[in-house]
Parts: sequence; structure tokens; C-alpha cells
Amino acid sequence: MGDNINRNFDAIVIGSGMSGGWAAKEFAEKGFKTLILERGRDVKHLKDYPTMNMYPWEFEHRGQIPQEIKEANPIVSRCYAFREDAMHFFARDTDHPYVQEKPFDWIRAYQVGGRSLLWARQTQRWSDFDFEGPARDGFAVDWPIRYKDIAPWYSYVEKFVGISGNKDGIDTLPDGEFLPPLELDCVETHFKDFVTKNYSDRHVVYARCAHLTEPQPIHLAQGRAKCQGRTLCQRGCPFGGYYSSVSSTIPWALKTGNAVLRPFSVAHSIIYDENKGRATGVRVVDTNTKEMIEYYAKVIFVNAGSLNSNLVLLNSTSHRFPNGLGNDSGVLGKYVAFHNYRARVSATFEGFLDSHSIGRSPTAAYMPRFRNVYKQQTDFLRGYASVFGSGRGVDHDTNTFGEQLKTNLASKELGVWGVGNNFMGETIPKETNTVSLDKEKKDQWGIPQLSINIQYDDNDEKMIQDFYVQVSEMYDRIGFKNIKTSDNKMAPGLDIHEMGGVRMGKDPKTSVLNKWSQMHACNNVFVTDGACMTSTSTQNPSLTYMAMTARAANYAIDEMKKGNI
Amino acid sequence: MHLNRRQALKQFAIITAGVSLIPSCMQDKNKASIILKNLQVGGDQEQLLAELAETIIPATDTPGAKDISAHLFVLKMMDDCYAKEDQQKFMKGLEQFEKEAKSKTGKSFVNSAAQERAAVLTEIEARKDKKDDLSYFYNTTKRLTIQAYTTSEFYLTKVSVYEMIPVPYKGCVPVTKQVS
Repeated sequence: MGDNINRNFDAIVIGSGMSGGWAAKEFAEKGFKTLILERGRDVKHLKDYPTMNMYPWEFEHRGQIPQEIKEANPIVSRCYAFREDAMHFFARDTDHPYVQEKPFDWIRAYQVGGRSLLWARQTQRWSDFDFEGPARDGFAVDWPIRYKDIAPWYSYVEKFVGISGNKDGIDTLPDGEFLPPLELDCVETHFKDFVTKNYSDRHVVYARCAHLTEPQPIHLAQGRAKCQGRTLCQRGCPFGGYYSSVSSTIPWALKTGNAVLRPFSVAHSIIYDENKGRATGVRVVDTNTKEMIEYYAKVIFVNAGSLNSNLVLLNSTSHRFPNGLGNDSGVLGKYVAFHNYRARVSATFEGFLDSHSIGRSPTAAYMPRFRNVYKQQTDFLRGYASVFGSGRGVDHDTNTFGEQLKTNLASKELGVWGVGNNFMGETIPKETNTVSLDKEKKDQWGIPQLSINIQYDDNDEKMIQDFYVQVSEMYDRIGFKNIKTSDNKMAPGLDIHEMGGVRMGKDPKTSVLNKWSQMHACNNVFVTDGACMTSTSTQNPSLTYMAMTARAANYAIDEMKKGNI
Repeated sequence: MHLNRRQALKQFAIITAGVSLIPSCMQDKNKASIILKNLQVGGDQEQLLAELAETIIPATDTPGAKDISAHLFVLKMMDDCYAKEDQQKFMKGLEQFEKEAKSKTGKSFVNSAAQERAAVLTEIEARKDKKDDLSYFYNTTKRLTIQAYTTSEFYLTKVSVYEMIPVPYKGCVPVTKQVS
């Protein structure tokens, strides 16, 4: 784009991923001229999924990452999805350095679509047990919203995204607008029935996921089709069977003719006009030319991905805001939290040996939080959800060679069932878990590097122990064998659920954003990705980011129409 | 269904252990037939690996390790996906393997009869839990040979069929005996 191109817009959206796609869609659809900034390359649905139809034998290393790449990129190499089939969708450590004051695996995906191409597609609603958490248990600050504020926006987003789910009628996991669920397998159903019968406070449900099990006209209009159960989602889906902004909101926004997508554009900072008392635009560094360009708009949505949204604001300094845009309270970059994914309990089950599942399911079973829900029961705050999954496969005996080995490898004899619960613990946002700008180190575009200082605490450790005890006890009672607990000791960040730093709150003295994810001190800037979260709940957060964004964008649109922004 | 090996070979032209396994034009005895960045592997060592892989998974009435170029996959993986120290262990173990085979049969592994090769492997299988270079070499070669075989086009289209688009998911159905 040269100088002749119009650089004035109604709205600028920084980021094209999970939440940015939604901001872009809402503005463009309602007739607002919208600029979508993306720091990475463009990715077009279907056209830029080079591995989507490759068979296992077509991968040079059968999925494995070459040693040279691993050694140069130790952080991203620890991510489960950084494999030969999807590694082109991840940002490399070498290109994008940051400072780890404590170990933090920051997993990034710099291209149009961001991490929405790669997510695990779990979409559980949050409930008032989550939104009321900080106030009840005395940490962070009170959320300025409750479930009723966001419920209609969950519905709004779910209908467009397409969520497969079952209406379960559970307090801790509100129902939504669902496409039909898939089945649970034999042992998942058995576990669900056992838990329902024996634990009045616990539930096992079909884990809701962003897959089109029965596409509706709105999904077909996006060019998406029914999920085929390939479970190769991380490569990009030729059917658009799962939700990503690349297959859905971004092309939807562009189709209106009101949106312009500018890839290769790192947001450097937001421009604040001291006289007008408002933000007027965004400074962008073109990653190819390294040229700095300014774009202007009436409203700015910051959806750069939790920690990068913090970075952009911290780097947006002015006479009025010497410590970062909107940072009168001094809490910007603080109270960052995440999900604790360290623990697992696994076992085997020797029932249902005459049965199995056929085909592949993109989801599993889900146990919403059951600890400390109605009252405080333990010596730690909050609790954990977990995914329960089971399956059985062929266990080939390879303790031989020659024709016998070949015969063994052709065996179709199924082994016993393997089962497991993966832990997802709520962490408490703390003032000491921070991100800040490094004073000296810069990235290749001259933007200060983010310095990350985040760690687990005693509450997290206690919660893991309780999870081991509770799940092992359930497993023992139901008759699972070989029960094993394990702690993968992963650093924070590898959960890829980092949240906070630009939290919402009622009081401008202790928060950056109000109940609309709008800056208290600069009312035409909104932050609606994970950075705005006051606390973390135990549910996967993407659905909530999308709902928050749609809600905030429509509020901003109303305010613009009224002339308030 | 058993497929005649020759038919199978004809049908699939199975040389797909890896996309970039490009045989060099001039077959030099002292060089491997594929380009390696890290390993120094001679042509005779490659031949040994081929015969070892074939002893692990022999051709019967269906393709074996050599037919699917499993030995080249072993080399490719070892060259690209393993740390320097593992590559060194592998190469040392390869040399020890050849010595071990010679001391057992009096001839090189490549020139041994099938029965003699089997005898060598039986002995090494019995000591495979030892933490030495020979065990490392053998266990790694075996694991990668099995991986090459079970992820080959032949295996995934004729033995255990991989469906890119599987049947619609059913959570709990009776296991039916498969006709093989």
C-alpha cells in the first residue's frame, strides 16, 4: 500500500484471530469502514492449507519436527500441535524473541487467523460461578458483568460459529445454541452414568466443540460444510468443518466490501491525541519494508492476542499516559493469569471388550468444575475442570522380528481401553504475575520485547493434589485399573490460555477497562481478547473472547451512532 | 485379502519412504544413495541397513522393508531428527553390529544367509535392554523400520486402511471380526 491509499477508517481492528475476526465482522457488516491489521502473512481459506489433504506417508518425517528446527526453537517445539503438518502456522522462537524472567512458553501463531487455525475447539460457556468468583473469594477485582450480560452474546456467536453440544441443564455449564452432539464412546458413557449415579455434585457431559455436525444456512452461506471427522483440524479444514476466523469471520467481513485486510503489519502503538483526549489511530510497522505507517480511525479494537495486546498498550505512551495507554491505575500488565494444564490421571479398563468406536470424534467428555462451587470446601481457592477421554487401539507386539513381527503388525486384535482425565485448573490473577517492556531489547522492527514474569503458586500445587485424589477415587470405585497420576511440569504459557493484564472492572482506580471492555480513560479504545479477562474460570476461553468482542463491538457501534465516540 | 507381492509392487510403485529420497545418479559404493547432511554413511553400510531392515520385516507374499525403502527412511530420520550424540551412538552401534555379525557367522551380515542373519538378530534381541551403542543402533533401526512400514502407503492402504475421511463416528458398536 502506497501513500495514495486511504488511511482513514471508521474502525481499526488490531489482530485477525479468534476475537479480531469478530470485531471485523461486526463493524464491516454494519457498514463501517474497517481496517484489519495482521502482523503476519495472509492465509486464505483452502488456498493456504498446503498439508490439508496429505496422507501420513507423504510427510518426509512422518510428522516429526527435524532436530535443527527443534534446537533453534525450543519453546514452540514443546507445543503438542507443532508438528510437520502444521508447523507453518506457528511463529518461530528465533524470529520473535521475548524475555523470560521466569520460564514461560509463549506459543504464537502470526498469520491471518492467528491461533484460531490451531485451537482445540472446545467451547464451554462460563457461568456466574465464574463471573462471581473474584468477589466471593476475595481475589483480583469484581467482574463488572454477570452471566446475564453476556448470555445473549454467547447465543449470537454460537449460532454463527456452529457449536455441537447437548443441553445438559447444569448450573456450572450453561446451555447454548447447539448443533447436534456426537456420541460419547462406550467407556465415556459408562463413566458419565457412574458419576451421575454416585456423585450428586458432579457431571460428565459431551464436550461442546466448534464443529458443524449439522450445518445451518448461516454456515453454508460462509462456504462451510459438515465436519467429516477427519480430526486433522490443525492443518486447516477443506470443509470448513471447524471454526476459524480464516474460514468464517474474516472472509465474511471482506465480502461486505467495507473491510480492508492488511497483513505484514505489526501494530507498534496506538496514537493518542492530547488535545482531543482520544485515540486517533495506530502506528504500524510494515514487516517487509520496516517502514512506519499511520492509520486513523474513530474507534480502535485491540485484539492482538492477550500478551501482545498488553505489549501494544504498554508501548503506547504519551504525555497523558506515560506508563501505557489507559494505565491511570497502574495495573496494566499486571494480574496476568492462565490455566494450569500440568496434571493427568490415566488408567485402563477391561470392560466393554466386545465393543469399540468407529470413525473419529473431534471431541470427548467434559467434567465441569465440582470443587468449591456452592461453598468453599478445600484449603485452595477455586477448582478445575477436566476432559475425560477413552479409547482402545491395536497394541502390536513388537518383541520379535521377521515373519512373526510382520504377522503381529497386521493384527487387528484390540487392546483394553485406555482412559484419562486432563486437568484444567483456574489460576488466581496476582499483581506479581506481570508482563512489561524490556528497557533495552527490541525485536527486528524496533518494538520493545515483552518481558514475562509469571509463575505457579501454592494454590496451583494444592489443586493438582486434590485432582489426583478425587479422580483416582472415582476411577478406583468404577473399577478402572493401573491408575496413574502424572505431572508434565510444563511452564505457564504452554496451556495457550494466557489472560489478563488489561482487566475489566468497575473501578478505574483498579482496572483498565469498564464493563464494555472499553477503556475507562480513553473511550474509543476497546480490548476484547484474553487481555480483558478479570479472572480465568476453568472453561476454555475462546468462546468467551468471541462473545465479549461481539458485545463490545455492537456497543461501540451504538455509541458511534449516538455520537458518543 | 492377501495381495501378491509383485502385484503390489506394480500397483503402488512403492518407493515412498520419504519425498526427498532422491537416489544419486552415479551409484558410488562408498556413498549412501541419498543425500545426508550429518551422517557419514557408506554404500556398504547402507546395504547392511537394507538387509537388517529386511530381516526385521521381510518380504513374503507382500512387500517387505526393502520394497518400501525402510532403510532409507531410517537414514533420513536419523540424519534429520536426532541429536548429534544420538547420531554418533547410531554410527558406532552400526559398526559394532557388523563386527558382532562377523564374529558370529564368519562373514559380513550382507553376505550371510537368511538363517544366519536371523541368528544374529536373535542374539541381539536377547540383549536389547543393554544401554550400549549396539542396542541403541538395533532398537532405533527396528523402531524406525516398523514406523516406515506401518506408515507406508502399502500398509495404510492394504493392511490397516487409513481413511482420510472415516465412516461417521459411532461411539459404541460391537467389534466385528475382520476378514484378513
